[in-house]
Amino acid sequence: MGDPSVFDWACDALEGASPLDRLEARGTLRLALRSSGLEATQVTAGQMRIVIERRLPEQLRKCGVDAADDVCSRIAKDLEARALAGGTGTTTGESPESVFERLGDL
Amino acid sequence: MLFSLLAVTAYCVVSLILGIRLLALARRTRELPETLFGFSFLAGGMVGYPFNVAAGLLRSSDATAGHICYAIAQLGLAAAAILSLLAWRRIFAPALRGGTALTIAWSLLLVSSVAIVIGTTGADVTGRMTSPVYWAQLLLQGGCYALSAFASLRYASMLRRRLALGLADPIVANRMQLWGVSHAAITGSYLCSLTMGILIANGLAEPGRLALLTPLIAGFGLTAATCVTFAFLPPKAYLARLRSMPSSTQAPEGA
Repeated sequence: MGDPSVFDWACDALEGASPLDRLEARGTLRLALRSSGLEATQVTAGQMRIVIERRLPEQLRKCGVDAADDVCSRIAKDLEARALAGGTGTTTGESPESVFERLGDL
Repeated sequence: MLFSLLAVTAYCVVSLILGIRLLALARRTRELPETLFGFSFLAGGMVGYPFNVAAGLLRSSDATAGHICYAIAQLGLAAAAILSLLAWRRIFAPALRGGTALTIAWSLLLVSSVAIVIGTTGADVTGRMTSPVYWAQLLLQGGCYALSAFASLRYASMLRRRLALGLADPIVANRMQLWGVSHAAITGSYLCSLTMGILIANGLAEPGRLALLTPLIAGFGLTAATCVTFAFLPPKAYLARLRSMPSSTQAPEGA
């Protein structure tokens, strides 16, 4: 098997670092991504780190997770380290955003 | 009448400029989206709409020439719509299961309906407007823009949410929104024609009311032209205003 996607990696990390089970972890992370305008299949490691730091704590508090900030901070640090080491999967293909960015070069 | 001419002229000029510039960009980048957009602007704005106007002007004086112009216009407009559909597939739905089959089937249905409309309807506008196959053509053609508008506006909404986290460029988000609005306006013009045709066919509107459509469709055309101008050739002051908006922050490093 190849590297897991950024989303799968973050779900596993959240499941391991919090009392949430697998389904709850995936659902909570999906909600955090949706409120940030991101999709699980397209999110990059850099984007995921920002979401974990700035959106996920609020979602975790809603689920009654204690020390949500600490949990998120730990996952974000691990993700950053893994991303630097090239350990998280990357998305493939050109995003609509990058196409429209290029179309500004007329 | 003056407003309609102004709208058609504005749309054609904008389409010509953008079509050429997008194709010049495509020559540099060798990428498909700008190629599809470029040819779509030229097919719609330089073939479809001018020949449609010519068909209207020639209809009473030379019916044959009018019908030839009408046929060329319909082919141009259909080509522009199909190119928009291909761009939607390439940009917004590259991984959609069955997307290729959907695109091919939609294009074939559209081309077939255009061929039938050209072959069976004459210079009589009212007769054409009340023909179900013409409604099918309007639905298929407008549907290409509706899909594109929906996908663009949805993605623009996602980009606006990312702006709050510094994960998107406000100019790109605005460009995508304007693109979506321009295609929504084009969809609106097709819906107007379709609604009027259905109303007339069912005796709910007089054929004389067709004249009401002209300024309405012109308004949609002018909206589309304004949106794509601000999307692709924005004034510097407009860009500065977008950059200074509260949610516009620098993207964090590594994002």
